Amino acid sequence: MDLVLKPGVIAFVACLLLVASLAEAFERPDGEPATVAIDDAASPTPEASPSTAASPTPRGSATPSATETATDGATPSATETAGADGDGDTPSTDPSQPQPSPTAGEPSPAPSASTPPSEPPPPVGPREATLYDDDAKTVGITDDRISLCGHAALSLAAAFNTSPDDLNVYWEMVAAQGGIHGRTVDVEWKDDAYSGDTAVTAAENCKSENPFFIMGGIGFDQIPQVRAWAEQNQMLYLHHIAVAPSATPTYSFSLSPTVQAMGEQFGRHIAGQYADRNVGIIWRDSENWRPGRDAGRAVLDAAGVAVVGDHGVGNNQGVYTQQLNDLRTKGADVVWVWENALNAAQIINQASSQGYRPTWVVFPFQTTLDVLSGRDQLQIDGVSSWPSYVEGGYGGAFPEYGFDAEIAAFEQAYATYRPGVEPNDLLWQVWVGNKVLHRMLSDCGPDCNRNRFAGMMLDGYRMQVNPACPVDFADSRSVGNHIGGWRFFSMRSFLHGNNQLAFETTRYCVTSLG
Amino acid sequence: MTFALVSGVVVGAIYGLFAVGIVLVYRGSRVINFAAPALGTFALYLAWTMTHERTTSWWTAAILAILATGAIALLFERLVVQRMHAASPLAIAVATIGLMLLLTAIELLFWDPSPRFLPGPLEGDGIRVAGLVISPTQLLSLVVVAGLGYGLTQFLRRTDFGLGVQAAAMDPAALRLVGVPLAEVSGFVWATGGMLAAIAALLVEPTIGAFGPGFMTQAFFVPSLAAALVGGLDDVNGAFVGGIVVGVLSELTSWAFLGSSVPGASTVAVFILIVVVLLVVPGGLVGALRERLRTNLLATATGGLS
Repeated sequence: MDLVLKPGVIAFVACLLLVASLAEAFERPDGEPATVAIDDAASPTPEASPSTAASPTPRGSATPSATETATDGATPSATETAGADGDGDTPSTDPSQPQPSPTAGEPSPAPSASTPPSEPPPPVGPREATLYDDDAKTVGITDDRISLCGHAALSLAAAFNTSPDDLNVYWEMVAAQGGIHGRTVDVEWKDDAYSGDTAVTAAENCKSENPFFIMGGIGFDQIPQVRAWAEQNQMLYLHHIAVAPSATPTYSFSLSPTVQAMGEQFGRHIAGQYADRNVGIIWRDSENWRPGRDAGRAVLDAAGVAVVGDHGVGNNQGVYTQQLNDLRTKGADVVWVWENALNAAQIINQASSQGYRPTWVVFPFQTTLDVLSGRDQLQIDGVSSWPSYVEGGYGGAFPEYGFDAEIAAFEQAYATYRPGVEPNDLLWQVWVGNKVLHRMLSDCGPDCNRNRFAGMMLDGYRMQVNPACPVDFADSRSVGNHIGGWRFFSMRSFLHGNNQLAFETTRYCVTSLG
Repeated sequence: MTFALVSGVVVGAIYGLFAVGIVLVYRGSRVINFAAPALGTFALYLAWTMTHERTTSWWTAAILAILATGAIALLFERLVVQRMHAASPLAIAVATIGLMLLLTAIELLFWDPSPRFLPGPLEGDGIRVAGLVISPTQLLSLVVVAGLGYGLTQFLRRTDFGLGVQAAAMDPAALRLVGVPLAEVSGFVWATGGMLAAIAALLVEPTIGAFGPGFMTQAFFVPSLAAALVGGLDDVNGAFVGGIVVGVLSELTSWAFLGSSVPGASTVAVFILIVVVLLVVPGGLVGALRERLRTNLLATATGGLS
């Protein structure tokens, strides 16, 4: 581990405070024993069962009737126990417990629009990694400001009449409430145009602005290139889903699953839901996509699922007639489309025009559903590492994760800070991700620096903040504690409103969709 | 296999329409218009906006989009091509790449890259041929492609202006001396090329199912250029035939390599076709066949006379 222990006196104080916070956590005001908060792995995490959202009404109005437990038996690390909350005024991160408002008592410009994790600083931060020297480790962070920079397909934001600044509403809200340990978080976004080369340029532009770390948005093809660049340029890099690195990286981390893990979960979902059906696969045949299909295919084969057709396609192939006809001819009534939103929409529409309407399994983006024809006859499942979103379409689903409450807060925040912007699933994903980052920066402590932030993850950081899934950098699959996202969602399409097709979450933060 | 043949013809007809636009511009100015499919995509955005935000009918939106796209192409010709009259065709071709990028940027700026869908003008179940459902819009596109091909050919062959278009690229100076308005010829080929790209895009989009910025360039430029090369860059009829050849080859290859571990086999096949045509019959397959036929006929006639 690239870690350096802090002086003994700090460790001693940390131990004292750890004991104190644990004692407080176990003693609730009403005298009832409380579940230890924060550590998802230490305290069993509820996983919403498939039946949870199996209500016919939108957004799963039924309350989950049962929960599964999932534990890997790991013990909480010093980091997580010390840093998760730090003040005993715990942001009750145990999803099985009711969620008190973490911002209670804090100033809130958006009355019901604020649910950031509670703020009070842990007295001792996590151990520091040794990635940077004393000068470099404080780049991007001052007493009153944390500067971040991200690359993303910003034009995608424009798809929803939003600007890059609209992605930062969460941070505006946090700033209005006093920031993180007194620091505001400023995020600059650079357009990567869904291209690996452009993403590297964007990252270089980011670096010139000396951010605390660089973030990588959605894009299987962009992240591996930027990750290689980040390693060469010694730039701290937090990224979205990407193919697993071939070697343990030094500067790159992810809160999301790997491409392989996502593909595996697609396979598990299909094997679990459609074991007796004929399955077809249409997948992007490229180095950054293929490992996901391979992982999913291996699951399907192991489960004995009949894969009757399995077709690799080129990027933006445009015409999928042969592949679709082959799948239809062979009787595939479930088709896994391992492609991006545009190509998935084309594939589904082309199939519909041929009268071929299997159950589709795709990445659940609203933008795909918005362009489908014959939507009332379509059955579409989604597998993802993020929860679904439909404006106003909540009503009691997944209370253990504060799902509906967070959506309400999210919508209220946008109504307050961006009255002209219509909330959508993209902004929702960014909101949830920002909330996780908030918690991490908070846990990094008042003396946070880049070494300390990296050290948290290298030390096996675990935490959970609603409505996001638990983060676990200690997972055995986490490539040297560099990958922290190992929870998944399943969704299904449903008609709501004016014949609009949308996704609703059917399983929430489960370790396996099997 | 029959299925692949039929779908190849359906797709190839659209390749052919894009190719005609490329050939027309090439005939009139000796420039390959790399922006042709991008103009088609732009037309889709215009039509989509009109049908979605102004509740205009598909037909009205399509006509307006076609005219607007032609106007953009004409504007490009006036503002860029005319001013580059002393430049090499290669330089102007590079300028068309600039137009392509500009249009894509505008699409990103004013619309966005999220998928959009513009339904076709005709609804219905279509007909089934060899297992392939050919939608009413696809049938319409076949009729439109054939009609445009015939009409354009007749126009180019039987009118003075059309003959001027055909002769424009050969000897501009001589053409000017005999009174052919070169500026009008140039404007005509660019504007018509733009409109043909718009028609092709509007007809093929319902089949593809969704589009995004620059989509037609990504999916259709290579096969369309291949169609133009196969048919002969000077040959409007050849472009249609080339489109069908490329479409059928592409679909047959895709069918033959289904389930194989060879990625992008149909694209590779198209590239191989381009290379072979350029090496063996650089004037185009159709032109070569026509020349051979003419030679044989002449030989037969001569033999008969002797």
